[in-house]
Amino acid sequence: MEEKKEYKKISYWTVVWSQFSKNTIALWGLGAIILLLLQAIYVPLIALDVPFYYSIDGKTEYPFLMELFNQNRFENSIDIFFNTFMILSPLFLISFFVMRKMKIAVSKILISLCVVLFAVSFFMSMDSVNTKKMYVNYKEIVASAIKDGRQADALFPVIQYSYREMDSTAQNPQPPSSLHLLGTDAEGRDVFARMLYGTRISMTIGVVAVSIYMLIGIILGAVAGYFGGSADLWISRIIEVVICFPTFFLILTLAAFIEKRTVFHVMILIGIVSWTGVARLVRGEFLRQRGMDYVQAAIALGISRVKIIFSHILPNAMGPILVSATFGVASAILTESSLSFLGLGDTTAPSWGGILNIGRQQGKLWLILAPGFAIFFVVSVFNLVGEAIRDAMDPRLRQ
Amino acid sequence: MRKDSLPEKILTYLAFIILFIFMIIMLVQFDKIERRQINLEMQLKDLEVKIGEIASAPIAYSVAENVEKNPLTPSRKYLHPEVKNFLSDETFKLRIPETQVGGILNRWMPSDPKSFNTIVSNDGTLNAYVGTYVNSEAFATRSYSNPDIWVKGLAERIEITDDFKEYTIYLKKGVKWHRPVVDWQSGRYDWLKGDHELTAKDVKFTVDLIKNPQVECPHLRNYYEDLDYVKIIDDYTVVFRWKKKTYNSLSFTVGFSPIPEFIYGYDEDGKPFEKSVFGLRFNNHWYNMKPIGCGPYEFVSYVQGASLKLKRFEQYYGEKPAINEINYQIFPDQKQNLLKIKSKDLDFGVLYPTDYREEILKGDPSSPFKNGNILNNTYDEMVYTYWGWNMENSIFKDRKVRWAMSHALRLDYMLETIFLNLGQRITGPNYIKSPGYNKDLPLVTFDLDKAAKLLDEAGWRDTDNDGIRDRIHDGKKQNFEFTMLTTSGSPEWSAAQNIYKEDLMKIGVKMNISEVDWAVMQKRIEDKDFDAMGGAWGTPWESDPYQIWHSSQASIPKSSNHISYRNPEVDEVIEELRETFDPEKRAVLYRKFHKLIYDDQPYTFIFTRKRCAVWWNNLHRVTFNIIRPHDDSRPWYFDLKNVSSNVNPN
Repeated sequence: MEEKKEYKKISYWTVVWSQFSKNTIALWGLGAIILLLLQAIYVPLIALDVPFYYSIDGKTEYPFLMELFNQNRFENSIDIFFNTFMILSPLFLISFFVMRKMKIAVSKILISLCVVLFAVSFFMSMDSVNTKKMYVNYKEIVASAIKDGRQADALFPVIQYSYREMDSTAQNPQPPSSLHLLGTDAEGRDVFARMLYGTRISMTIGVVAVSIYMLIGIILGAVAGYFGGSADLWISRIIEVVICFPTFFLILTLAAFIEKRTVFHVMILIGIVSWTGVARLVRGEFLRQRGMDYVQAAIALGISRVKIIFSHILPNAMGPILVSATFGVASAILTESSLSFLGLGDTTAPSWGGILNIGRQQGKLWLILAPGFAIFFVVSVFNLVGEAIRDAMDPRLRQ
Repeated sequence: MRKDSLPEKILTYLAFIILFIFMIIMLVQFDKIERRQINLEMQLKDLEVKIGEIASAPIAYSVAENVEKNPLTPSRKYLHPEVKNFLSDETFKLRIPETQVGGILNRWMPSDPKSFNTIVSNDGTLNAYVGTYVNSEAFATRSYSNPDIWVKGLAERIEITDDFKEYTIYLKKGVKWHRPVVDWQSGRYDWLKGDHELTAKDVKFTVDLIKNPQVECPHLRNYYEDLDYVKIIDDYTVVFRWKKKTYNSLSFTVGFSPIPEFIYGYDEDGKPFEKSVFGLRFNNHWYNMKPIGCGPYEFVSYVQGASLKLKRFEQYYGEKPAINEINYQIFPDQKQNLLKIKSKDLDFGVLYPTDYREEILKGDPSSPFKNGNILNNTYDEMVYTYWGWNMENSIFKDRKVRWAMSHALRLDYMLETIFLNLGQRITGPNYIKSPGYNKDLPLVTFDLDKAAKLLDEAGWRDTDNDGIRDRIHDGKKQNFEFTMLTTSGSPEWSAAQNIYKEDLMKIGVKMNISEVDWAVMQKRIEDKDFDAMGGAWGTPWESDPYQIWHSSQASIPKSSNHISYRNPEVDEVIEELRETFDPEKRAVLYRKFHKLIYDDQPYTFIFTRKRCAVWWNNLHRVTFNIIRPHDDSRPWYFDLKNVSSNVNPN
């Protein structure tokens, strides 16, 4: 057995994965992240005020699919994005596995083509294709039909409320009940539904904000570390200047001056002020790698600089970047929650921080505990996974 | 590079030095010229005043029917004894037989005043909390029981000409200013020693300050623009002469409150300020962080962000209030009122709406709010809230659209569930308790069908089937989409707007909400850069609608008519109001004005705000006034003998 193993080709990432999978807590954490992602994608199946089908006097309609893309129902483009993804994700999975089976280099191209096509079609649909429709209250239609004595039937998702539908049938805010699992807020919106939709906001913020600052940080850090000299001097000074600003207060100040804040503003804000850490990390890593033989060899072979930077050095420097990205997601989610808590987030988005803020103002326990726990859970899960990746990459800790 | 030789270097340096010296000389010269100019301007102004006095037309005084044969102070000579005293003899009894003297009242103050100088600072907090007690004593004040009449304050008699242009004011004798609170031991302030009496000099001094362009008081100067001159007749008599007959002149003359010259006219060492820079020095006067006046309470101590202590002024000219000391606790978070009143750190506090619901509307029977230990009451504030529709925006130009907007507001529901009935619905801009409020107008109903119908009539239809109404405007398709501008930080208002937004969605109108910082909002309003905005106006008892509603204000930048409302009919009424002094006629005009505004719906009027006040049951005779200051504590007193508990709150 052991002899066989010696011949097996073991890549760096396989080693990391085997180390990672020894950490039980981290595996649970990874599972939780995947679950959260799935939940974020498939919320409309759990909570929405649109029936899968409804029939009145034998006439059946299926409004669910079309309503998923109704911009009058889902204000945030994040929601539309996730809904589109929800419909297309099975296709993606199938194509991905089929292409892996085929084991051809074309698969990579095809996958990236698919992604590009998806993105293009999504943004096309946002602008040119009219997906707006009149706001229809299906529950009222069904209820009034039943009241009129007509034969009516409808199948709603488990939770019959969307994140913005207002239940004005009782005195708001309602305490938790079987109808509203976590009660409602002052406007009468179901808090549980808002929590579920809040996952989408948090996940997107985490991933996109981190991607933005990773991009800035990697490029600047790579340039500084590879070229050195005056480029290094200037970029290091810029890093030092930006690092001096207290990040959160800078975001607060900037956010206060954006009048129509959306989630994207928050992402960009987080992205443009927190790239310094990554830039320094990448710069250090590049300084170290640049002197190594393989880089010298590549230079001697006359390979272009861009190629050396991005396809030779960067993959070798990827380890610490990945770790800091994982921690970055957690901290970005936390920053967004803090912003929303202070009332400087997107007011239309059902953000966890926003719900927490409403809970504080209302003095309602369920409005504080639920988002508080959700934020705690997501942040610690990301931190756990980040820590496990770091440990798995550390050769000294290798078991 | 060429290297400069030594002499060349020296020459360059010398040139620089000479240039520098020239610049300094120039600066000094400019300063001198400026000072001279200011001095000249002042002299010119004094001359103008003198010319005005000489040239002023003969003045007609109407003779009162029952001439006061024996004036209050027989020793005093009145210039026009035949004229009826403008001030009412009514007095407000602060003390009743049961009143017990003593005690310390702990109250709440939301923020630190930027300055205690009432001329320089236009700070609501200062006026509301400190002014009433210390430095807002005026010639006369509106009666709490009937705000249409004025009762005597610092003045015992005011004579007004028939054209309401000249006011002769007779000050009470023996009105003492408070003693300044300074370090007496150091000897530096010996020049302040002794009692100082209020005289006509102080009045003239204050008017001069307000008219001085160097003094930072644009909020006041505006109103005194038409004041021609102020003339001192003797130590206790002063004449105000106005250029025009305007109704504003009445409240700004009769309600004038002077500041003490003996302290504000001098620097810290007792030297009078130089005339040319007087206003500038006054803006940063050394006594600005302490209040001084001649009110019923005098200043004791102030700790920034913590407390402000006042004690009763024993030499006060009027009836002295019963409570010995007033101790303000300063903290910005209104929510803390609840904890502090429960722990008895505060005797009197104001509750936040959510606390009002939890403690008073719901609260369990054993809580101090329910068992009678802490009493509560709600009182109306002279503040109304509104959503204004910018008429520069082509959407809101149409009256039908504005009516539709008003009909789409589910106000009764909001008032009940969100605002917990802490408000009273209104139909127009006049204060609901004033005689000018038109009670015949019905409240706007919540009716989405009607709103939709009105929008249909106005030409807004959903032609492209995208769920949002549209129309062809100037050859272009226009969607009915607008942004509501509000300040962030109020959970109640943000909830109300969210509900409104959803209701509008149902009739095919898309509303975006933009919550911004107050500073940003102010700027946007000043620039008239908004579609719709949520705001509030604090109204005086009789407001001059000119500022907010006259069309001449619509085109002025930074004016209060930020929605650019223009209606010639309304203008006429406003102009007439400005020259009408008869209360009956004014009420009729006000009601007509109210009706016209209601028909146009430039604002969607929401409600007048109510506040919930709570106080411990050993505080008695807690009354609330229908005009500001609503919670004047002067008639209140503490039950010092038996501190009772478990009293039925009713």
